Amino acid sequence: MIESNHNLPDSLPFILKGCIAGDRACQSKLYHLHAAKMMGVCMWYARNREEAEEILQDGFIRVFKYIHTYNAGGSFEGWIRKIMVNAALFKYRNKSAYLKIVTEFNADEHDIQAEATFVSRFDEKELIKLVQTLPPSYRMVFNLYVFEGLKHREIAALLHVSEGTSKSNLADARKILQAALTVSKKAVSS
Amino acid sequence: MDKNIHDIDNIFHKAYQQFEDEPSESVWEKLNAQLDKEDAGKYKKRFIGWKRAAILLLFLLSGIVLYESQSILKKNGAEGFNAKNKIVKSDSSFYNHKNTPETLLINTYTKPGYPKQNRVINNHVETDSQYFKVSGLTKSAIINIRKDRNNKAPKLISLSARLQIDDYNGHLESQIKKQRELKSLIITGEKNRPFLSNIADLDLKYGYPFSKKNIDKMHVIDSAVKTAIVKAETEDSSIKSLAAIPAQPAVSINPSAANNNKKTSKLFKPYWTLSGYCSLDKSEFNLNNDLSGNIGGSQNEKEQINNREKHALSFSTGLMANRQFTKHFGFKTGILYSNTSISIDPQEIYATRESDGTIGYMYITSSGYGFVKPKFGLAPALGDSLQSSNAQQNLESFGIPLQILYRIDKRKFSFMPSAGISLNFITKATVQTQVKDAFNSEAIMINGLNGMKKIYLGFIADINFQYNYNTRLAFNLLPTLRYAVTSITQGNVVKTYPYSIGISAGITYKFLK
Repeated sequence: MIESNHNLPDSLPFILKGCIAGDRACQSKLYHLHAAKMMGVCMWYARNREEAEEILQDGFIRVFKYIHTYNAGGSFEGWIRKIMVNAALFKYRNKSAYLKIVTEFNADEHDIQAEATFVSRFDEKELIKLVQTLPPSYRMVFNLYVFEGLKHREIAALLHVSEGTSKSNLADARKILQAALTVSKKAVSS
Repeated sequence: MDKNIHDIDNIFHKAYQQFEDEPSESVWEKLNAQLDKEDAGKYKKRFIGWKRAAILLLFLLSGIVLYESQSILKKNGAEGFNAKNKIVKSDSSFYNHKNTPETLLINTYTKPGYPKQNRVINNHVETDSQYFKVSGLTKSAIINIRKDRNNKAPKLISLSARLQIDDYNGHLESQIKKQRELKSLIITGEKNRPFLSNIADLDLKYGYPFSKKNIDKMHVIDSAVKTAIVKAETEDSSIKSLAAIPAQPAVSINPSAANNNKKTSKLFKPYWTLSGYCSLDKSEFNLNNDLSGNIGGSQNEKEQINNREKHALSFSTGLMANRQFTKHFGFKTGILYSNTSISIDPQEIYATRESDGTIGYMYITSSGYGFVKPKFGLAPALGDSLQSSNAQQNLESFGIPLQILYRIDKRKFSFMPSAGISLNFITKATVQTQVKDAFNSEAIMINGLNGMKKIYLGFIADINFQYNYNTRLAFNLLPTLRYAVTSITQGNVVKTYPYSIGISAGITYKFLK
């Protein structure tokens, strides 16, 4: 899998320079340095592993295409991560059938039950599976809000939905996840 | 509740930060293959400019080669014409001419329409006389016709020569009626009875007995070559001088040919023409999605834009002035107006912040974008959306082309390929549509688009098929190709390069002095 690129230095400027020049060994090096972390990101945004790999592939194509625009002042990993999220967003938008439009927001309906408590330790893979089972629009809003720290206005603009829809989807997602975690917790304790 | 929410968010956020997973090996393989594809595309794109330049260069070179070949022919023709103009000597001067050993002048006539030429052979005398004289000949008289640059032997229609043999001054006539390739002529015969034969076709026996009766008219008519070398020798020791002269000047030999000579030998005078054109064009946009900021957003992707925009037939009209500065080469310039119509499918438009900080619904097209602020409903918030109906986009532009053309005339028709550049000014861009939400709708007109350049550069090429109705009026039909070399957008989500293929019809007026 890894080609002769293991002889290349790990220095980021060197790799970046090679990638900008279109050097395949440097591209391979960059990919293999970040593939596992970015696959981790894609898994949260995808429905399953296959889709995550598709996003990863699209994401890296974009990385190599726009690598000349990377500003060396910022974190490179953060930059790649942002591109992966954008690739996931692109995929999501192209599958418009996934869009679940929620036009009204009722806070009472989405109130998370007070009695629920959570243990802080869950297997990451289990958590990913839970997020993957969310409807795509919920998953996207939840991820953008919780993982990327975006505001509802920003999410609404990105997903081309209204702010109310974004809020509603987030609340629904949390409710579903809370329920799932509670079940998991009960299953573990019994 | 808040604590639970906080807990959920924390649990997932922490897991998100920490989770890593190795992708399967096939991902890199696929990625590698895709990168290969992209590289091939880039390579192709990188050389597209060179390709265009090469085509243009080839076009110009072909023109130059054609022009050069024409001018060589013309030059040769002109030499003959000049020689003819200098003919002042008379028969008597010929007969009084001191014999110069082995000098011979032969008059060659071309097909009707080609100038007459004279040549003196054997490097001894470059005379401006139409007469030539060969003297001191010993054996046979051989007339060799030199091959031209293309190594083509000339065609002989007939040969005219006047032979001065001893005490006899007379004309020798030989009519070779068929056009034949002449390699050499030999003059042989007994004393007072020489004859001509084409040694290239000895079997044809074109020799004629020498007699007073048939020695009046003989003309070498050379249809292909404008130069000739003649060498004359004779076996007949009694022939002390051998000369060949044309029996008659060109005019009297063939009046129509002489008239044509006059016409064709006229010097070319540059002239202007003015043409009016109307054209129907099939225009399209070539979109490039490589703006660095455009790494997401289905609405902004070139495929999406391409899919929702459909180009109707466009119309263009204009006036072109053509300066023909040589018989074949000229240039043309003028002003062209074109109107392009594009139908845009319904789409959802989203509220976005404008540069001045206000929020409006952004309507994106391949040529630029505009903001829509309907009067109904509340002021839009970021992310709000509206549905737009079918839209009609109109672009108007003026172009100033500058093209080099090559003209080939064939009887009443002219064929003029041309190519060049055009500077184009987009003067108007409008989008007409209707936006609606659940309860309201409103007709919208966007005047002027953001992210659109006012000026762009284009390549233009056409082939003009012209019918010359008379010396001043002509009718034209020309297929035209226009291609933008620079993008018409700047700061839009896509880079857009318009191109069009059209057919123009026009009328031309020629200004003659």
